[in-house]
Amino acid sequence: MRKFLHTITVVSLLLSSCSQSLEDKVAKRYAGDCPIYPDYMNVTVPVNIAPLNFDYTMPEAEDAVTTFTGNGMSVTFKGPRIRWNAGKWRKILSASANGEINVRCSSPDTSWVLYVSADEIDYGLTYRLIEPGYELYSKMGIYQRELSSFRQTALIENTDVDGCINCHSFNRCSPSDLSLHVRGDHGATLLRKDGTMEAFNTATEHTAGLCVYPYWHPSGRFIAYSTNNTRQVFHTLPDKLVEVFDLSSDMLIYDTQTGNLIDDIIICQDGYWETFPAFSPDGKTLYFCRAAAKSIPDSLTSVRYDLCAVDFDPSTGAVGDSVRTIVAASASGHSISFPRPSFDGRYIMYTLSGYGQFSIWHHEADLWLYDIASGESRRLDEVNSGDTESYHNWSSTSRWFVFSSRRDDGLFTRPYFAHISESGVIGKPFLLPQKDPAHFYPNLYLSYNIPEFVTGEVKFNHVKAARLLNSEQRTPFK
Amino acid sequence: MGQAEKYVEPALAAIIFVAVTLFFGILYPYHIYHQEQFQLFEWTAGYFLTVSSVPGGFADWVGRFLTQFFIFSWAGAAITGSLVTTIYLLVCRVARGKSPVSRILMIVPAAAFSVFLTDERALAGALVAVVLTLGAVCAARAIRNDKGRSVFVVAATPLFYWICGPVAVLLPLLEARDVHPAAFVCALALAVITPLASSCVLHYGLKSLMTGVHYFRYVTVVPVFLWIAVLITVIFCHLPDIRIKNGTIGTLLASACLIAVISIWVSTVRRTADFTKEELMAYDYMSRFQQWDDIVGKAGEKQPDRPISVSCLNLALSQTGRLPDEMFSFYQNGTAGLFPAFSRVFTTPLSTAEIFWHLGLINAAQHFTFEAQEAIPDFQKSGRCYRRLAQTNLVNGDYAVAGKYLNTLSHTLFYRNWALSTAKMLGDENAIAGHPLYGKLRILRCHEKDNWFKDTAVDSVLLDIAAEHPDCEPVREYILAWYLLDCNLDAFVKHFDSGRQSPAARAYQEAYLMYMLEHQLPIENTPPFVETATAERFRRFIKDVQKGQAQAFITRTYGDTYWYYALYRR
Repeated sequence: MRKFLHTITVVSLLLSSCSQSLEDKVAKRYAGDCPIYPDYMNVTVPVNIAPLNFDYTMPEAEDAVTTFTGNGMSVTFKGPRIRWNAGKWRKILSASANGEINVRCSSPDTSWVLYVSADEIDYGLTYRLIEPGYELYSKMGIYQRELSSFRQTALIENTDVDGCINCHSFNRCSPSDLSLHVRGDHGATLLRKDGTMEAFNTATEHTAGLCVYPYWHPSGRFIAYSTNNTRQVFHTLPDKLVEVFDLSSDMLIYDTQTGNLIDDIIICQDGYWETFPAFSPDGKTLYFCRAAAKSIPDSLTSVRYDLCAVDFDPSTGAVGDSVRTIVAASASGHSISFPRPSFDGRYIMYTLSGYGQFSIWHHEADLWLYDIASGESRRLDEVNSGDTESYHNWSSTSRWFVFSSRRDDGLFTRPYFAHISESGVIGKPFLLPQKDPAHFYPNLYLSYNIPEFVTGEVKFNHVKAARLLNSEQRTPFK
Repeated sequence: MGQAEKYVEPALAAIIFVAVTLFFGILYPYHIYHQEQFQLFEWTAGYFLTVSSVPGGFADWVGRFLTQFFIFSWAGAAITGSLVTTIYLLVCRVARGKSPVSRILMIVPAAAFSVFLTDERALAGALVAVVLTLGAVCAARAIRNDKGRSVFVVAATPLFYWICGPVAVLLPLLEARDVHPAAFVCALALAVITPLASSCVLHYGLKSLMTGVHYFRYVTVVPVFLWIAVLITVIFCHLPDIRIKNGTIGTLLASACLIAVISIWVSTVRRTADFTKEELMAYDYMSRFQQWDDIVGKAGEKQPDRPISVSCLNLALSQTGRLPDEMFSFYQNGTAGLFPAFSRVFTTPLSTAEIFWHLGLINAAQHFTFEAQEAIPDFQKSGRCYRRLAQTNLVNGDYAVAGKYLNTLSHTLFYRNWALSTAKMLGDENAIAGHPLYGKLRILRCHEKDNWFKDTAVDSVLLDIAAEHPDCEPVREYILAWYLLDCNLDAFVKHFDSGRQSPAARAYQEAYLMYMLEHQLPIENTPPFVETATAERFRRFIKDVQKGQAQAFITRTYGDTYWYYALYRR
């Protein structure tokens, strides 16, 4: 027995040591030209973020001596793997708030800076984890991650309910009110408001289908949804794999107070596809994307969405009678998706790609920022990469934003965070910290979908939610 | 116990081991391979923690550890035989009856578990869980002190629930007579309360937690046979000892008992074993390992008739250059026999992906492989899929993604060497170009015209490849075969080289004659690529059909022709 255990141990050690070189090679590939992975060089971080652990990617870093110096405090690490003690990290961050931490490494001889912003980031981030695939899905779920630590917990997984757990939305980062869409045999929109959870059948006779992309009105009374008749096709050329498109889409607004649906003709126009609704922070404007309807899939590559807006009266739920085009992307041969107004009312961030609305599969997709006061849009070169940048969301203070990027490997979406100062200066983004990122990310086959900030821990009774969703009971939308 | 009685148990254990091993090794080997290809056992702490973080997770981890050796069918058969034999030996330890007849009867629980394994959805972890739990029962029996035994059973029941899953209920049920009644009730209550409590914390439904999360490939399906086997185990272990006097009558009765048990076992296995699936798995396996001649040989023995097996056969015919000549010598079931339609399961798309891969439809191969893996019902990953995904990404030049798959494969026992050697090609354009397979596929795949891939209209994508690579025979043959099987003779003639002078492949000659008939062209004016004998045979065929010859005669005489397919099998 002892001999057997000895053999097993030796084999295990051999395997782990032999494969280490490949793992290093993979990590190096992820890092690109950067000597560390993740690339935390010269990034701006919030004062309350979890430790930025990282690894050196070059062999000469075996004997690296790395010193972090911030406001008189100094911490030194030996070796290529930088793993922070949480207490020390918090201390040096607090000491350096509104300043910087200088990082000096002896071998390789390099130095950089960590800019520490006193603007705190929200409590946590919620997201869906799913493999970036085609039509089918394996294990998936909605998770929350505490941003000041490495703690991740599942809110709901598809082992709770047999279905594709899809779009989730909180009201202005509040962890209490939630809209969650589930597709499949147990399809429903799960709505949690004022502590009450209810499963809705959102398909009605007079709407195009199930409610998909939600956005809460700041008052919490209304939720704008798009109803999308979504399909997929697959490319034969290697540079693109999947194309997700709508055969049709409309928008509607659900009044949680009266239980009525507002499907005003202005947001369900014939000849147009409306999608991705988002209320302005004052609740008086509804932004959305709109494209002229075309024959699909023949004209798929010429479907282009503009950023539009319509007035909204929060006291009556009435929608204005004219649609304004805010950014006419189609005129320049581009397409807009995911408009997200900052909560301070200054900006609208959106994704710009070549065509269509499902930008995550478009390598050319980039983030753009629309300045509401000046009416000017600009590409966010500070945060964009050579690969896909797509879904994004603002923190409750509008000082931070999170966005999905495929810059690591071109396929698996990772959440990056960036700071935007009062004056509009945007810092270099940083990847969601992990305890052992050089091991974690290369071994993670899941993409982070729809990252959304929450200001506190989401208390979610998954047993109750599963019971509701697995039952036949559905409240119909009127 | 007499001298001879001592050998009853080991002799029966040997019989069980040999019987189970031979069954899985000879009659059911592709079920063994099937299990291995839908898991990816990694030698990492992270993998262990992930797998063992649910009730029954440790047993599942051990089961997966053992299943990785199923890459060799005989190893898998021997492991399966060992598990069933171990259950038999442990049941003998636990059972009340110790006589030879009781020993013979104790074959029944082991046999019941072996019957459970004939279902391809059954996972080895279930048997490991039973073995571990029976081991715990033996450990409880070894405790002499009654109080100590009672405490052990109460304490071990929730612990073994976590280690082995709900079959841990065997512990209180088998120890019912040997522990204090209060301890028995307490342990039984814990066996129910623990899954109830787990359901509040874990993201699994109560039904799964009560019947096993990883005993069966389908998480939400109750493994009925397993629980029948558990019930049988409880009943047989509590049977009183059956003693028969020594002597000839005793020996005869014991022999009759043994024969009866084995007969019931064999007949049950014959009912539960699915040899149709075994055949499909065989075709898929041979296609995976490019055993083209074996596929054609197997089809010669028994005609395949399911889309998976027919498509594997057609691929084998194509890869050996025999498709246009011999495809109608075998049963054909339309274009689904070339490319089985996509279905949301984990088996068919994987087999279809092999066809796309060999024809240079790299994106489609990647798509179908990925989907197959995603559809694995218990959310496991697949060594076969990871390997193919690494290859498709390598050919497509997505080296970071390919590297990611190779990195994971390097943590396995049997895919590691391949992963490490393939990793050397990452980013090395010359090495890939020089590789006999990747180099060829990289040239073959589409470069210029993007198209929307549809599995119901693969011909249009194949035409794009053929336009870029007119010399690629397999692609051209598949296009023509598509039109023939679709009975679209106009499209066939459009893409067929009808200016050729030398005899064409048999199916093409036959199809062209059919086309001439359909368009009322005089059959006497056959083009040079149609041989006289084929034209003669076609005339006879028409005459026989017009005469109203019996179906059996037509099948016997013309069953290997395109005409027969077009008129009778379409």
